[in-house]
Amino acid sequence: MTLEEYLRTILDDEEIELATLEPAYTFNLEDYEEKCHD
Amino acid sequence: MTELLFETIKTAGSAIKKKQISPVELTKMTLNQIREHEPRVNAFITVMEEEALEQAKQLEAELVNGEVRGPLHGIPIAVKDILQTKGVKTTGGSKIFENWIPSEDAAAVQKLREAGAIIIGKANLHEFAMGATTENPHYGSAKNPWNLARIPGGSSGGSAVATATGMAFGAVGSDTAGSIRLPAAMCGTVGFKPTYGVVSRRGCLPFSWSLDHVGPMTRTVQDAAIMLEVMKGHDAKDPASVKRHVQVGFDESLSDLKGVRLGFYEPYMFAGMDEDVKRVVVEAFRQLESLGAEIVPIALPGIDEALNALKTIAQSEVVSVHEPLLKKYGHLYGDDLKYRFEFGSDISATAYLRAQRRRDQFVRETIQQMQGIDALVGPTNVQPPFEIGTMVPSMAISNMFTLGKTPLANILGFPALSVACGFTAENLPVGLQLIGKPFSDQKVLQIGDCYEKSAPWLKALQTHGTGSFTSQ
Repeated sequence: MTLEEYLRTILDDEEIELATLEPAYTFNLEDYEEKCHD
Repeated sequence: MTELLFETIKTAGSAIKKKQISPVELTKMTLNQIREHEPRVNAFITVMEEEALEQAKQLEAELVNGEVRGPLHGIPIAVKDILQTKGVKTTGGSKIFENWIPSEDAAAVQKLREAGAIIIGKANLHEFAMGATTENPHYGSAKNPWNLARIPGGSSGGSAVATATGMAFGAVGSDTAGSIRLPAAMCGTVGFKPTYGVVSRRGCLPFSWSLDHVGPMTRTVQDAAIMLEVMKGHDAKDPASVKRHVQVGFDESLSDLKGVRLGFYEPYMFAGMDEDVKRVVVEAFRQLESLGAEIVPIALPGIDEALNALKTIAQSEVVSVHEPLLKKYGHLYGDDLKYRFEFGSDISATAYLRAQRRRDQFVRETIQQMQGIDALVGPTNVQPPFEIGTMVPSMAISNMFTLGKTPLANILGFPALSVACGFTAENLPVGLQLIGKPFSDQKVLQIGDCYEKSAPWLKALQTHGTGSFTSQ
């Protein structure tokens, strides 16, 4: 089963949606080449 | 015949291709090695005997038809039990996940399978990858093959032990503050943390989203490059995955290190260092210089603040990851993790954001400092592995900082290699660390490969494995 499905078996339903989400995150080293040459 | 189990992936792969040994034979040999040695080292949570043999038969049939998937065709590889494996339980080293059987492979595992690697088992780890010792309260402690009373390092301790003892030709690990490199160093093997975003983390239970990396653990640097070549690549389902093509593999080794400049920041790299470990690392520096490398002093302004930022980021994110589980299953966590959650649960959002901004600033400054420098150089571990059972739960959170110099590359996200560089007087391995600039993964691997090939004792280590282990 998927992680979400497994968590559903051990946690209450309302918590699942958050439990498997990764927050929008912006750390990306591809951006630094431009920043470093500013 | 067991000598083959300590050969490189390249050599074993070539033997398979030439039909000198079949994937089934090699898998059976590896399983025998596991049967013989696993009871003493506890490297695995699950040994995948049936699945591995099934896979080997399939790969053997392909060989008969003249099909070779690549250099990993028929090579037994272990996977840290924090990465999902289709149809095989994935515990994360936790009691909470002991019954989870994923329906999909993690991205890195999937790529390895497609390239012909045989997944031989799920390697032991520090609970949820949150510690440096691999003393797991639920599945038992993994043991250092060089001294069975000592920790193998962590959190990917089982992966390093399996690789060092010929129970796998390589392994997949994860690294949030040093979890690939520290155990590799303490077990006399190789560990590589790629540039952040080069290998997808999809299917790896998270510790800290903005610091987590997945990478290879092997016995030689070139083998790490072979595995990474397969594992890398953009994955739209991992928000951190980079789109650019990153050069990794190399066919030819550098003959020397002429023209290579290595930056050394002594106040950090040699702080808190055991004198005997230091002796070994200084000797490795001389060896690098004899190969033509120039080791130059470098400043890393803001490093202390940046390392504190790493602690803030890791603690905040790990509490966020585990919050839903902690409410209901807090009692199922080990004592060191319980302490960690107490410490991390009162960090403010302002402090977290300040830490992320500090990270941004430090990355930019370090890239500037590294102009004209190919890589930073220093030790991986600054202390030899300590005795199993002596970890104090309240100190566990700082073990990664006191045992090694690995967290620096995680706050930077830069590629970092640990390669074995010698032994202490007590015959415990020491690792040399190279930290490259973003996306210079291939360069770091090439420098490490050149160093490794210049040390004849290292060749003996790779060929004969952990000699002291078999006589203990």
